Amino acid sequence: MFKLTIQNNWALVISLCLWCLGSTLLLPDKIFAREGEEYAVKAAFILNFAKVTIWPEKVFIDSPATIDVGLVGDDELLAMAFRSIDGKQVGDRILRVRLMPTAADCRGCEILFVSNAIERATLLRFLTAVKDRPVLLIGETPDFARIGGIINFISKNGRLHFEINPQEAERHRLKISSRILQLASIVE
Amino acid sequence: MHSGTGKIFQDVKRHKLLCALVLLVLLQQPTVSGAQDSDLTGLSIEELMALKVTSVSKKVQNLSDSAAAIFVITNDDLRKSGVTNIPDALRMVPGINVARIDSNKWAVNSRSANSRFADKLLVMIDGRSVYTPTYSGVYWEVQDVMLEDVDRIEVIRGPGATLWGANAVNGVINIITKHAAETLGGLVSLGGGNQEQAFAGARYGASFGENSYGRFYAKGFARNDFQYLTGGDANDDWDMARGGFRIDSSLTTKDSLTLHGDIYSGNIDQQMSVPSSTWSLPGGFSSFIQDDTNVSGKNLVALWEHVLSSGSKFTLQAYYDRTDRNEAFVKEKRDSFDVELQHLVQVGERNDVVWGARYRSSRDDFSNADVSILTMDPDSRQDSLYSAFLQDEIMLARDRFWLTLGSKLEHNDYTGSEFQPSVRLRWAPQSNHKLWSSVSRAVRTPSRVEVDGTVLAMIMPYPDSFNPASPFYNPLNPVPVKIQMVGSDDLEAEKLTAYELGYRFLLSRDFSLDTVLFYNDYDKLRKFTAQGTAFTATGVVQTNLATNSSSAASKGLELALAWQTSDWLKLDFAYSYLDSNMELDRQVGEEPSHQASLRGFINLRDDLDLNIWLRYVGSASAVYLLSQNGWYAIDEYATCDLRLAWRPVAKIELSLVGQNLLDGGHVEFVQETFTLPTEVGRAVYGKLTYKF
Repeated sequence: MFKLTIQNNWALVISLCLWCLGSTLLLPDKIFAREGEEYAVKAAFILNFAKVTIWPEKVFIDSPATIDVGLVGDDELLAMAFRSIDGKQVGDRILRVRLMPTAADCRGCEILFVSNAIERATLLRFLTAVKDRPVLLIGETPDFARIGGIINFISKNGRLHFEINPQEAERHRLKISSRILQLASIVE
Repeated sequence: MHSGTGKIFQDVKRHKLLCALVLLVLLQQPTVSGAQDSDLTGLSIEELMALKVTSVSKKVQNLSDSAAAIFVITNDDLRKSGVTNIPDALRMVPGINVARIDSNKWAVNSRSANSRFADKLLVMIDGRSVYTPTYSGVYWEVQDVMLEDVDRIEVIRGPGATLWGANAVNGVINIITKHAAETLGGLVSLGGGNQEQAFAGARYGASFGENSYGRFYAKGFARNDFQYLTGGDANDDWDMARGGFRIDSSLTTKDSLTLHGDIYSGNIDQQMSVPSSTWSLPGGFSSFIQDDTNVSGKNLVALWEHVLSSGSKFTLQAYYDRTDRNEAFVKEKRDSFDVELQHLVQVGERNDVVWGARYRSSRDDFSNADVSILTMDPDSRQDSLYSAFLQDEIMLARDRFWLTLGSKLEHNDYTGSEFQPSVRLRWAPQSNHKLWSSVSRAVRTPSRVEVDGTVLAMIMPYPDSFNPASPFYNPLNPVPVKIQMVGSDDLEAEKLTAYELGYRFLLSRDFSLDTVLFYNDYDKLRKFTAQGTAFTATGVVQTNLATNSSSAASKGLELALAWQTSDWLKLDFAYSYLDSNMELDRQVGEEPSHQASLRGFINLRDDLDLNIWLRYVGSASAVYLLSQNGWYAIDEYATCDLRLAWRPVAKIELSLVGQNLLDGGHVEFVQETFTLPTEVGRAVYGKLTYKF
């Protein structure tokens, strides 16, 4: 019995050592180096944008408890990254993330994220479909905020920034907090 | 000592421990990534804006939507490969054969037999063509950029002529540097080793005004001699200095302007045996020269992009490029001016139309060189090129089927008008399975040498000079036979019809596969055909005239695999198979049938990277005038590069790189004539990078 305990202790020590070694060796540098995978960071941005945007109340008549986020782009990859904000609380509503296979599907969305992994024709079709609706249009194509989009991600020195077109926001009947406008590059 | 039951008890205990251990290791990663996600969603916008962003999958995503065989080398790939020049980086691309001839010369080609003068590959740096009309090839040794500022290198195998025009026959390589907003702050790198004797580079970028960014850079290096296969220094050391700038500015919300330029100068050493009409022994009709080639160049590029409306934008690019080359056998100046307009417009719901027009003017000037191997008649010439293209991408079935039709119409001073159409079909049966196919036609227009040049390839003694029975018997002062290659005004463009079939599969963020099958049908290939011999007062002249009398076919398979096996290990594999009958006409050598590259990216620790790169290139051959049968056989080789990088603090990276570690040296290629087989040897260098 005594021997067994010793073996147990040794095994414990070894497993602890291995675990420590494993932790240092295998940990991705993301946590310590303050890095994030691009779409996970964009998802976190969008969660923040949802918190500072005011939609006209009537858009929530159909689904009063949710803010629907539509994703346009390469299905599997985007969906995986955006899972982190699915179900997050924003005020008294929760975010619901869904993929948008066709432009017709996105009419019930409050937020639409259009990735750059799609055809330009597809991009334009989606923008046209929600042209006059209160949908916060977020994109990542260089001219997105100039061709009808509202918020566009731009990258500077490996960090994400964003531009906002306030006139488009107004046209879509959305109010975006001025605090956010101060952080953005304004597109007129 | 122990009873049976005790043993079993002990075994169970052991197994429990083992299970616990396995569980611990397994649990480790999910908890970590879970923590990371919730970590991010808890951050404010200000905090998110300060976060450094990594994108692992971007490359795969954007590529999966093109109906062409495309491979992208990212900035990360470049840094982690440890390469110090652009051609060596291309070794990771399937379908591309890269062979270093000596310290300062490379042979690079796509889907074809290789040559220092490989003539069907178009290379562009930030929209500026660096392919020289002199011999329709690329002087790789003068093509360089600040590698740290490269955004990506896009390599398209197969024809790209519909968009890029004549000479984009076997492939197009686009070297694209970062937007100036991506290179703010300073970067200094320096290091040295046995082959890379010393190198240094510095860049500084800043923003000025509301929406303007700029950077400037300077870099330089000194590279050591390689060794001849037979031993002894090849005396091919070289050095180069280069500097440049880039400004990106958003003038208005609809207009952006980019202005960039570079200037370089270098000294390239080489030693050669060149044909000489004086008989001397040893050596015969050849003389040995040691050459210090001076090369220099400068360019300025302006690009204006204007958004007309949501479905329409145009870009206008203009540039000036000047190159100077003072080699022992060629003294050449070239001034090029190029202006191009492109307009992208949406027509209806299903049509994506892009059309464009281009004008290019290039003026060269060949002055008398020290050694008269190459003569041009006329010695100065100005050539113009006009072209227009139209391409339409039609969505046949929503998000499933696309058809791309297009053609380029080009007019050049050598062959007149050329028509280069293509048809591409893309099908996405599921979002992660994509199939594409294409049929396209591309041409290569004749180079200046092929039309106006005369190259003295070699001089040999008339065989009868050594035959006592012959009236020409004169062993001490034999009659020379000059073998020359002569260009022709009647030369037409070489033509290619290419058939391609590709498949891409994206299992997840972590695994992707890209494979292509192709068949190339070449016609009217240029061949130097013997025109008989002429007896002149100074000897016998044998003329080989450039004609379009050859044709060939090639077929191949290319495969690229990327697999992120775990948080700490990523594998990148490339394989190419190529079979062509181009060597039958004895104008080019035989290509390597098999090539493979395996890169392993190992994240040892947060601050420690280990990169391993294994390469295999099958046996090949090169045309070699100095050998008896006109060929030089090149053995297969396998080699390995290693890189270890340590970041003691975030701003500093120290790396140690070993290249070609598996053998003491191997021959990768031999230039057609004048030089001796030179070995690519083992190299080691250390490097320090500091960012501020």
